[in-house]
Amino acid sequence: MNSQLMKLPIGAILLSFSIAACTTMSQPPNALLSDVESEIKMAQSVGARDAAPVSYRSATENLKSAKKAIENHEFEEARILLEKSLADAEYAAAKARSEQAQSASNQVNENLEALKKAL
Amino acid sequence: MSNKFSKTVLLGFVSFAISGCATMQEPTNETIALQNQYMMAEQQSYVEKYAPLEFEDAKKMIEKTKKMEKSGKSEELIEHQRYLAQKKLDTAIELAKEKRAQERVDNAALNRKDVLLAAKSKELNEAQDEAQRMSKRAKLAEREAEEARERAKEMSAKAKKMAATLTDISATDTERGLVITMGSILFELNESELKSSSKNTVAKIADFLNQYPERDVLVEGFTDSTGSSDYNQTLSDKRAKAVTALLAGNGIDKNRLNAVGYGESYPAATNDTQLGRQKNRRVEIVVAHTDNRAVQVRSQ
Repeated sequence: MNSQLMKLPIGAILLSFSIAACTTMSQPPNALLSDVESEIKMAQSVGARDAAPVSYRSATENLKSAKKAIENHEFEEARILLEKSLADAEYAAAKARSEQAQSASNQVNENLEALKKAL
Repeated sequence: MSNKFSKTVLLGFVSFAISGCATMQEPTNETIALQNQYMMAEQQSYVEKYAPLEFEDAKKMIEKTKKMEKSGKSEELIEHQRYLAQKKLDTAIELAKEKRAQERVDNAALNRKDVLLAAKSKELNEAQDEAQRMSKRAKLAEREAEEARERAKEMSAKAKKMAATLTDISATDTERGLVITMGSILFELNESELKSSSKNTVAKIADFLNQYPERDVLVEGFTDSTGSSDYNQTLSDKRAKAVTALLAGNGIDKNRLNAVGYGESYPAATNDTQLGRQKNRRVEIVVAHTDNRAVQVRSQ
């Protein structure tokens, strides 16, 4: 009996979610926009432009497109572009850091081997 | 009660109908490929070890993509979700690689310390071993030197004892060796043939020398200044050789024996008196201080 009673609110929630998904946003995604901008800056500062050029460019171009979409009040479109841009920027930054760390690790290992041989 | 149940069912259908903008689908090939990438990363346990949160996020996002595909969301939304999931997974893998590399760098610093320490202790051990070897060698050399000194002392004492029992013989320690001087050695006049009394003395000296078979012997002949120096040189050579031959005849190995004549050089006393001249006519037998080392000839 109890479980049947519980099904009513769940159904209602599902319904409201479905409706929300189909409606468009009425507010510009400003918080997301500033997140993306700072993430791209960070990625650039760690050398992502060289380490992951495709992802880095994709991030910057999607940011540009997102800004245009905001100007045109296409906020939902802008949100999707910003999410893509953020994902690319995060990946590019991670790739750059990873390459640096791996090259440092290789260098250190080579030095260590050289040291072992020298002694 | 059954009323409420039918309401729930109805609501469920409504929600499905609204969300189902497209038809129900199985996971697409792209999503399956993504899922496979995830599983591969899972097998390489380092991703989960070094980037657990990001890896978990990627998993959730892949699950969400699959759910969206099942519930038939719009192609565009699904593709977007899949894109984000793919990037999240890639990011997690890179992050894990970075952390793993950093750990390796940290470990390398420790390894470096270990290697240096090991090398240092090896060096230290080698130095200690070397010092021990050196000290052993030094001790051995010292003992040998001590023994040599003892033997030289003993030899000199014996020589002196022997000299005391014989007339006209003296034994002296010099830098070149132990010098046994046969003063007023009796040769036939102007001859190198010894008189029989001197032959006995040489035989005694030979007995003594035979106790030190490893010592080289130099027999040196001298004359007084009477007569020409050429004559004296020849005479001193002959006399030294005569004593050498006599020593050899008394069992001394010829290889140990050398003879040299100095003529009237190196006088032991003045040539102005008869006594002095007698002292200058002599033969000296120099015995090396140490084994297997030749006695230095006097510079002429």
